[in-house]
Amino acid sequence: MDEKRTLLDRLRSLVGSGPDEEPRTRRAAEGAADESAAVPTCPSSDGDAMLSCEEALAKVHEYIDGELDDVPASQVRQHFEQCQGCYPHLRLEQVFREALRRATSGQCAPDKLRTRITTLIDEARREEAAGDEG
Amino acid sequence: MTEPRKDRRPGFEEEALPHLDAVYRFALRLTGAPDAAEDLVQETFLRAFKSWDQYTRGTAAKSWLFTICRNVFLRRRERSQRHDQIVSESVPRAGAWSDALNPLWFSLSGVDPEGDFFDSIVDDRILEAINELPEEYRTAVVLSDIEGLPYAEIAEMMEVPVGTVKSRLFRGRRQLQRVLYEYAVEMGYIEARAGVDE
Repeated sequence: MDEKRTLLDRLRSLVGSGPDEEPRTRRAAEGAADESAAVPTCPSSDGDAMLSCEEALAKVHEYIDGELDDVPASQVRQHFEQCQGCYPHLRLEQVFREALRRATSGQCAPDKLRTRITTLIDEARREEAAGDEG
Repeated sequence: MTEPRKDRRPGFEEEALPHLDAVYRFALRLTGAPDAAEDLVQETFLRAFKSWDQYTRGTAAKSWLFTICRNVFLRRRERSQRHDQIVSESVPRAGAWSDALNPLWFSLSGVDPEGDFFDSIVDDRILEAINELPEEYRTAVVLSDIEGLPYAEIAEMMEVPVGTVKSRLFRGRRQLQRVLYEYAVEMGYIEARAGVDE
């Protein structure tokens, strides 16, 4: 439990801001050169259940990959559903993965390879069996 | 004749062969060429067959095959050429707030928040972009994003901590995203936005 400092503390120490500062908009503005329209801002992230933008964005990959270990998926999902500024960061990441899968989905092992491998394995089995007998 | 049906490799066909397509896809990404991939897959399955007794039934056969495939590939590559692409591997920082904010998505969120531009990119260009990644990033991205393996299995396969897998995924994805975005801009699928090219 101890080694698990709160996520927010960890994030703050990583970006080097003090615990009393509000890093959200400042870091957002630094994170990209072309800003204003899309700076993630949430209506209110003070409620105990709602994750802040930085907490949600830091978890976006683990959320998509089903690898969250310290935050329930429902909380992450809730944030992206409710925060317009953050939503594209989830959506684009998902569409990117879909594009990768789409590009590779048609690639199947050629039949001749399948046949060759089954033949080779059959042969290996036969040789082994012969070896056992002899 | 009556064969003494002594099967020393029970269940190999049933458990390993269903993963042939996935292993072939992986081999294609590793080698970048169909002939070399076929050769690699054949070698992978023969080795897997011979060491089938070391495989624990019911565990992740797919990642076991991937491990063999990658090991064979790396060993061959080492033998044929000595110029390994060294990937600088600093402390994994994936997950930091400043990293979590992808500058590319940030710029796109006003232009194409649904990522429609990805649909315009032809498969071959995507495959090419994957093949251009350094092997460490490529393997992580292929296994996670295409084959859907859990971080822990990839870590075991690549013999690195889970944090390193996350960091490789992070860097590999960012590189791919940037290449694909630049291609889309070049092709006119998407309007270039100032500030993305910093």
